[in-house]
Amino acid sequence: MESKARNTVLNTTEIVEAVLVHVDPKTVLLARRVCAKWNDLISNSPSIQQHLFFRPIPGTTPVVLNPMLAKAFPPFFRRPAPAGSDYEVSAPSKRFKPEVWARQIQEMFSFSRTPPELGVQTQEETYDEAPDVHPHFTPDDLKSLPLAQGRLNAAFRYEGATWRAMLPCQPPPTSFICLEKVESMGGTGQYFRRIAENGDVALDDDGEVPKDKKDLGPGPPVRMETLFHLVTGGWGDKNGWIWIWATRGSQTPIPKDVGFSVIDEARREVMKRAVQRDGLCLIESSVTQCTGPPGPWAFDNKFRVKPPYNQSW
Amino acid sequence: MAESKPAQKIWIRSNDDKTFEIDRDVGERSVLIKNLLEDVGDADLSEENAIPIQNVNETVLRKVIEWCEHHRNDPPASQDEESDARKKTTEIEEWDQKFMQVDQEMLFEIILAANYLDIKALLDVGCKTVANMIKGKSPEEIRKTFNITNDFSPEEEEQIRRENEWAEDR
Repeated sequence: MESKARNTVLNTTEIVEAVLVHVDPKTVLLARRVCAKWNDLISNSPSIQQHLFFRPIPGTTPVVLNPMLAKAFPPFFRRPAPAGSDYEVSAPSKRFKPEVWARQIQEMFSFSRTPPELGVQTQEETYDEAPDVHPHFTPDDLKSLPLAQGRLNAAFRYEGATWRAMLPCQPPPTSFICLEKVESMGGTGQYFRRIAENGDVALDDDGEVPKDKKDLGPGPPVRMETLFHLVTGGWGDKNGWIWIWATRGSQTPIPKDVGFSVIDEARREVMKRAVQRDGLCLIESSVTQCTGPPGPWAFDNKFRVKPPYNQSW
Repeated sequence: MAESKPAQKIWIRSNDDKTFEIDRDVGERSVLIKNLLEDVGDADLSEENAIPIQNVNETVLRKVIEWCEHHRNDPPASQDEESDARKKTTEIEEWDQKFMQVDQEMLFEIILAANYLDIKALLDVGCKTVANMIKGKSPEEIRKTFNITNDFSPEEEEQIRRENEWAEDR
């Protein structure tokens, strides 16, 4: 049926824009395929690009996690620790349960709901026991994700896949701290690094840039490809990760015992301050092989993706 | 008991020459009408001098007036509202939902009228109603719903599909 009013509305960019910011991001992203006009609008409208987590929304609080990425990469987007708890972790049984999380994420981000904001969570716990635990995830957890399987794996690894350029949250971090526990023949150590899109830099034990190193300052907003590559790229063997998300300026506790590592009080203080400033930090465990030179870390070909722009790690 | 002053009346005329008598505060839900009234002295308000609403016909204007009457006492929208709009839920209040249960052509007519008359809250309800028709639909379903022609070449469409395939339902 020809409809004059409908055609006029659909040809009025401002109105279509006002409609699409009320539609869930996934439907809008896929709707680029409707027609050339919609593709152009969805790809270029600043407000829709913000809605789709491609363009940063300025501001500090509250943090909204990217629902599309949280659904595809659940272990990266665990809910934050309960405020005020100084908790301990470790027992393997309390480990992160991807299937529980995946199901709850699905419910959490059903169309009728807006993405949850950190700090005002009302959802039930995303793991099935010990709510004060901040469990890490492992290579096995990643291997069980839908994105590691069959046709979806090819779609996810495709070089032009749009997840790579997406912001993990709004507003996005411009840099964040990473505590890496390294096991090698020489013993075990814990090291701080500052990660940014414009390169990363090793920090001293106080979380400061050493005097002889150049402080790169904050870079452009951090994109998902960078987070993914931190986990799956680089050198050595890696066996566990924890991402801690927070609303900037809020007090977020850092776990004492993260399963693969015990973090001392001084380092936890450094991390607390960093998370308060950046809204994000990563705790990582890796093992450096001593027989022969270290090879590039890639526990499974299913996770080999094109490295991001800066490959300094 | 204080005697309340009777509401001041104004007259507006649809583009098919139907004149409506409405309360001034109902008419002022429209920023366009409100601005026009500011330039007209009270003495010049009359049925013969009804304000012409050029882009809106009788049926649609009647519907828009119905909405304005129901919402005559709503607080004016604050400046902050626009920047917060994205964070807000897309919920539509019950009366508005019923109000918007019209055929698609009328829905789009109301949106165009709200846009022309500059009634932001009504435009917003209209946009949210259309948004609810789109939510969860595939590109094919959206095309069908709104009779949109797919003007991509197969190669172009395949390229876009591939970029977002990771987000498709499995």
